[in-house]
Amino acid sequence: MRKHAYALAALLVAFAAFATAAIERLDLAQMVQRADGAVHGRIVAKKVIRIDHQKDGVELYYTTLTVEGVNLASGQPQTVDVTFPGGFISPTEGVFNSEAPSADDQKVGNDVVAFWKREKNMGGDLAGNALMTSHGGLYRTIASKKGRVVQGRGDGYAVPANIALDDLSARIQVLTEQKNQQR
Amino acid sequence: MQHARFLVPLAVLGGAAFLALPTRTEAYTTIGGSLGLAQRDFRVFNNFTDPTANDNTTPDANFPGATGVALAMWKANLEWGSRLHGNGNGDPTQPGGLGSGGANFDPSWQGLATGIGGTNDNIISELSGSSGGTLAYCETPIQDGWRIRFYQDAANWSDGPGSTAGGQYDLQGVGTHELGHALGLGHSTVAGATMQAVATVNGVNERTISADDIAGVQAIYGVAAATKPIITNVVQSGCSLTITGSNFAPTGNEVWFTRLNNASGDPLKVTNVTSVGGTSITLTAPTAAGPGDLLVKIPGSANSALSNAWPVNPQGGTAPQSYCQAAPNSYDIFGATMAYSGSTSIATNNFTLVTNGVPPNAACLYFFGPNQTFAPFGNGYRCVGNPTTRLPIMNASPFGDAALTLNFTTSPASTIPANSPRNFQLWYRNPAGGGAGFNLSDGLQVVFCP
Repeated sequence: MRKHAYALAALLVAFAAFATAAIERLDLAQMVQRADGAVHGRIVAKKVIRIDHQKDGVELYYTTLTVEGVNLASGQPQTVDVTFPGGFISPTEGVFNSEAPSADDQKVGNDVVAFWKREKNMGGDLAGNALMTSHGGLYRTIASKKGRVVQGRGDGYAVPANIALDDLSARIQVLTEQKNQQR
Repeated sequence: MQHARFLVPLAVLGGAAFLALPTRTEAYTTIGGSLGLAQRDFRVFNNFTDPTANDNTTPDANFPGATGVALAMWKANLEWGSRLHGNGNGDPTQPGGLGSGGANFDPSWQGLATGIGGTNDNIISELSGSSGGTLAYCETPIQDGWRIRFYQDAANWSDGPGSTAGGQYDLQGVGTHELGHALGLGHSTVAGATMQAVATVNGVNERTISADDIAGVQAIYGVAAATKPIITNVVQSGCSLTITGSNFAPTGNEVWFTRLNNASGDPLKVTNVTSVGGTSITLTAPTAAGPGDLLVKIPGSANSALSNAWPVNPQGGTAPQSYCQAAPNSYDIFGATMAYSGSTSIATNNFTLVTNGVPPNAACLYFFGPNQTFAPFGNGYRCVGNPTTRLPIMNASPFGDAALTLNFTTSPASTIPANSPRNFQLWYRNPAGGGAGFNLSDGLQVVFCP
């Protein structure tokens, strides 16, 4: 009975952990390890471009958000552009992208935390700072009595549950120091 | 004390169950819209570069004519179909289980595309580069179609068919997820759902859609209606196909085929087809029908008017296939390559051998036989083994084409039997090419129908 119960429990835990899909599952440590930076700030601009590329095809749309704020590892002021596939140039030209942040999440004026990584080619020979795992790299924050809170996204995301911005920043600083020591 | 024996394992079991069970029973989301009957086609542009994306070269009878990434994507979309695809086999990870949607949704495989296409051409392809942990994506809105891209450098892509090696991601599993977007689903929060956003391991588990995914596709398209036409078998006799099933209309049925060399993506449709008792349809496969799927559509535009997809290879069991190798000649550095036009039906009697890249006006002749070989001969290679039969000598056109329509009513074409492979090749003179002064095309294998 005990063996069967343990086996069934292990099976259920394994099942819970084996969900799969189209962006990589990165916990905070893995996210910091893979990303080139994390910024907290306000989205101050949003731009969508279209690329028609000989090899990669036509109608490649990319959205770039400009986030103005503070680098969460260094605490220094930072303004950074983060880019992800998809977006609309006008109400009639563009594409929804299945893995992009929601329209609400990418609004100008939002207070966010964004993880980014420098990429030489995001398709169509577009170089820039890729928003890590598209929607999985952008987290909105809200003000609370105890300070600003980063809204978690659930199991499998770098920020799975709501966390105080100060706490997230502290964890990112520790993880960044560990990452730098490994280099 | 007796109770204490079970306390710890039960506590562990309860905790594990708590972790594993979703907080909601149905957590699928939808993105708005659905694919109408005019948008059920899908194709693959095979620009995938990882060797492991195309190393499954084993044909599968349930997916005729496809290997590699094309086979993986075909299986991925058929998993969303209303019923088992043929006998449901083809995926070692879910034997007899491909086709789980149970909704008024069935896709139509239309083979390989020749380009990436636009954002509404329903084509799956690879995109160069990477984007920080994003594996693949689907572009919508879907009202007029979709496009799916896999990031080339995001992973080592594998076409299966079994589980993937360490460090690889499964094309079929990730494809099943993206095709879920294409049919109208958003991300799910249910652990284990194909439509969950975040990947953990290699994507293989995503191949099998979960109860939550099924609830999602059924919410968009409706649970498969009792009136929906159902195909339960297709029997081929030469070029004649007999479709058995239920709910076919007495008249006005359409039979949809996978189109050979499909530039548009549209299925090849045979219209105004009658049934016998609503349970049997017999028709001759059109010559432009290639290996793929067959669906029956009854009159009407509702999602429930289209049947499940059934694998079929209408050209006498196999479409004409190029094989062997052409050698360069004085006119074309790729040599002379064979193609064909017309029907492989002997009764139709219009099958035409076509060869391009022949030196203009060159004297030439076709020959054929039941056997294949590969041996240096002249300036090229001999592809047809003994015994061989020669067709009449002729001349290529001033544009370097050599075309000959076989006449099955007279010898020697009249000796060609149905349902038995015959291999064709063109011999041509080419003094300007030096060497032996003659050369040969590649080979073309054809199985003719009665």
